Amino acid sequence: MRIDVVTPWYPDHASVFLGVFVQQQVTALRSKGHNVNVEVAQIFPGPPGPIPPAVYEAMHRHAAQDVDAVYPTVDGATWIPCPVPARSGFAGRADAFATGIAAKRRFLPTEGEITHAHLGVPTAAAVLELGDHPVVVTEHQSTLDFVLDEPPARDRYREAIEQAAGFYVVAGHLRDRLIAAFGPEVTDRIDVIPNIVDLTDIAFRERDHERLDRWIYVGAIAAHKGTKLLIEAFLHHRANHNPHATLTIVGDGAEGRWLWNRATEAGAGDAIRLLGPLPHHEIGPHLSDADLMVHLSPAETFGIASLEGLGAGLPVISLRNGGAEHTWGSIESIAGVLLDVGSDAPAVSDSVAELADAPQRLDLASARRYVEVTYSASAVADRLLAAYTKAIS
Amino acid sequence: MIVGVMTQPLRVKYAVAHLSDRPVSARLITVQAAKVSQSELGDSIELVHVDAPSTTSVTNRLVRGSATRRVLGWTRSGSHVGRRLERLIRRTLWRVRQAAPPSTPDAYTPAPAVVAAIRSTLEDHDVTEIICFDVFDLVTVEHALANHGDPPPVRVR
Repeated sequence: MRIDVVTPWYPDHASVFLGVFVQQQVTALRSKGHNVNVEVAQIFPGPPGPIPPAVYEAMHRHAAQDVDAVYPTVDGATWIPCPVPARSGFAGRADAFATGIAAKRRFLPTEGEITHAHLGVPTAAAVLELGDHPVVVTEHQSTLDFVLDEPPARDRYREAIEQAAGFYVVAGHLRDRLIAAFGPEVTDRIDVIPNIVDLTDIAFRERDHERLDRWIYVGAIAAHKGTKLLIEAFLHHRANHNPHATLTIVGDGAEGRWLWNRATEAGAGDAIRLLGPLPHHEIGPHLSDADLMVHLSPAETFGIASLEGLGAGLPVISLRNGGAEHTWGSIESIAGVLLDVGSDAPAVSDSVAELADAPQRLDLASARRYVEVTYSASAVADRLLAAYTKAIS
Repeated sequence: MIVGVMTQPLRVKYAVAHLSDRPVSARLITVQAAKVSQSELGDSIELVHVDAPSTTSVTNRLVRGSATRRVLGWTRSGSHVGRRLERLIRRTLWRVRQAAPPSTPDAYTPAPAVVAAIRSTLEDHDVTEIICFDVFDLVTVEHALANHGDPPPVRVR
């Protein structure tokens, strides 16, 4: 099958984590012998108002001389610069994507039998505007509420659901959100295809779970990921339950310095390791060295990190953040603890202590098997191929 | 020598990642709004700050505002009140912006200082490539290369 994937997120040398889940799908589909072409619509924000024709003309002149100068292709993925006026909203981004993608295709046409657009707005709205049919859509953006709050973007979103040959979300709570926004008439049009959880480089290690000393968190250090709650819960746990507890953080972000200062002030600077962002294949050994994953993001569309933690044999403490309860809520009794959003640091800290006191309920070997069966690259690729086939037919 | 042109802060990490990978010397021409420090770039990349406005000065102010970051930090920290407040602010701002006619800044006019910096680099060095880290800078680079006998290849990255 010839598949055109259009996405605003895809890893590159400057952002190695951006859109890894899209790349994993592409790799899985290619490994099954399918021809996948990727177009990465890249936002270049400009001032308010229309983009002057001179900008596009300059792009076209350079592309005509050397297409790679404007539209570089690496490993079958082509980056497409899309100038976007400030203040044009998500609908403005869709228009900018449509203009940018159309311009690119004049120089580098696509030959897919089907287009797979990542995100309803801006991406699916853009490719539907170009007349790409059939279009299959996957929605997984954490800013979906903001998209739906803008009337033009909301209208475009409804059109995308109605016009797409298949519309999928990565977890059930996003489907619920769209049904709430557009009414029960869209219920039958939206289904779930999860992200891939790649356990290739993540070895399972058997543990007795009686000692939950070594905490690990993998993800951005940012307010919206709950890292302030994480550090406060960790400090509370050291002070009240386990003075030997340590915390390893894989990732970086705007709150890294605050987090370090807070830990140092509390006399726990030596107990925290900030490893910075690591390539996916280097994360496995750190998961293997840990006893427990703590992931306190208040909102997740999917939440790959927690599932990778389960794959490594780690019990997981997480909030019911949308993604978590939909992806592993059904195995919570053997996999860890899900706390309500709004839980405070003592509640998190105490839940770790309670888990360490009664680890008999945990069965992480079964949890890993669940993750492998449900979210393996092969299983997700098969579901995508079924969706494509259904859309084409 | 490779010349990089970067006039907005959102592209800093791309410039650093791209130029740091190259084995040859590079000069990065940038403006005040696109703050980047020499320590981020490494020794093989020369940083040239010129006095010129950023094409995306409006966006820059939003991105760089520490107050904005603090508000977003709170609204996205898990509180339902915070989330609803952010949605309210965004909806209100969106309506205000839709009601106001878009300004027509002269931001796309090639900045003379950037043009001059590119031209002087071309005169003083054997420039093998010019990389625009903001697609809007293509127009500026074209302007600088006008009447240049043997222009180096220009790329957007």
